[in-house]
Amino acid sequence: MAAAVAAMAAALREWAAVAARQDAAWRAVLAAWAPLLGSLSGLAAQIRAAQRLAWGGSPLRAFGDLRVRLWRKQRGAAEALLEQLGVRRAELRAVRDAVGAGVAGVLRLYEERAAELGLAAALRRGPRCPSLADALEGLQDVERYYRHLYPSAAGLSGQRWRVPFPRCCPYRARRYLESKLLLRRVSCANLADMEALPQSWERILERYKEDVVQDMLLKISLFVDNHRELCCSPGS
Amino acid sequence: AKSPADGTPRRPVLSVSARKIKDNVADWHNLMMKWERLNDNGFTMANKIVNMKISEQFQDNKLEIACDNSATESEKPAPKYNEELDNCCTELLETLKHMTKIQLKMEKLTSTTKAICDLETFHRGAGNCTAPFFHTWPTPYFYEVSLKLSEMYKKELQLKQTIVQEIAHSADQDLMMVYLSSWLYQPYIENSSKLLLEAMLLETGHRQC
Repeated sequence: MAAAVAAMAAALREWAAVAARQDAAWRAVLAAWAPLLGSLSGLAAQIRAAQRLAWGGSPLRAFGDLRVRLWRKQRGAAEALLEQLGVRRAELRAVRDAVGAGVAGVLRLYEERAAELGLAAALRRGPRCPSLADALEGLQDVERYYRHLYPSAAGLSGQRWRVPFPRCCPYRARRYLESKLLLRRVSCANLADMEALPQSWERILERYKEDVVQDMLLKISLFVDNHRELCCSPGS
Repeated sequence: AKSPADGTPRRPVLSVSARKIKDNVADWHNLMMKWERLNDNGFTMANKIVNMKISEQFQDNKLEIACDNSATESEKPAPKYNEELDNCCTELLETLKHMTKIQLKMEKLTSTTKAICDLETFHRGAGNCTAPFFHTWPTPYFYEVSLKLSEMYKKELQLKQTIVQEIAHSADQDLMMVYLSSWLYQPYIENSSKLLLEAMLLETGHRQC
């Protein structure tokens, strides 16, 4: 049992190092995301102003083809910004997938060693040590955090893991749908939504402001550093 | 005089012409870069002007609502002189002056290129082909490209002149937004302008393949 716990601790240590780097990459991408959304919002405001303007009654009426030419340039600018957004989204996706793959690896190891560990050992907590089940649940929380903020049809959603007391949350499901709809709606066909992008994104981020990843990394580090307590404690 | 039989150039006047065209292309590059920098400066100023106008309108609306609740027309405050707005307008005008100079230089480059084509035609005589100065472009093509670019910048300058005349006097927020957008995106400078410049730079050897 001690060997199995140690193996899990080693796997979690390795995962935590990777997850910390991925989290830094994730934050960098989100920081770069905000100015792009701001630029798209400003551009949408400009396009809408041009649509509302009474061109014939303005000093610009002398430039007969200006309206069409301006629209072409604005659309080109929107396409360039959307392409940059696509690159950033690909970076977010890469982080989500890397974290997901890491979590899958650790959970697969748990599956393999589950019989050796036993349920009691998986649930045992020490004075300074969360249980293995707590640590693995934390892993899933991190994976779910990235997946809900950057949703896709793939990921771990289709897989079921025999981790004690898995959680489900209808509130999180709503946030998942919100971010998915927001990302899907970004286009020149929805200028009002494009103009409101920064505020919409802020509202979603506000709901994710609890530092799930850092909290879970702390929990996992407590397990990694103190897992020997679990083997020495009564009933081990 | 005809070209040597082995096809290598050149009569001295053509070498001078080739060098002149190459210098012109370098000038085109420098002028277009300077124009872009001025465009950025101009946009910063125009943006400040529009923000100040919108802010003024907001203050005026608030004041109007407050004054409507009190007494007479004579008690309503006179519009204040906005020094910062005046400074931004002055700077925008300066920017436009520099852009005008650049556009005139572009016209000069075009007419110089035309003169080189005319000279080549004169020396060539009717019906004879000359080898291109550089790789593949016949000399008249340099003139065509220069003329195309020059026309783009001329029209764009006309638009910018209108914007500079009107932007500080407009009360319509949509119109001000369109002025800003038009300044920034330069609708009369087609996307092909960058390609045309790069093509000239490649042809004349300023850029290597």
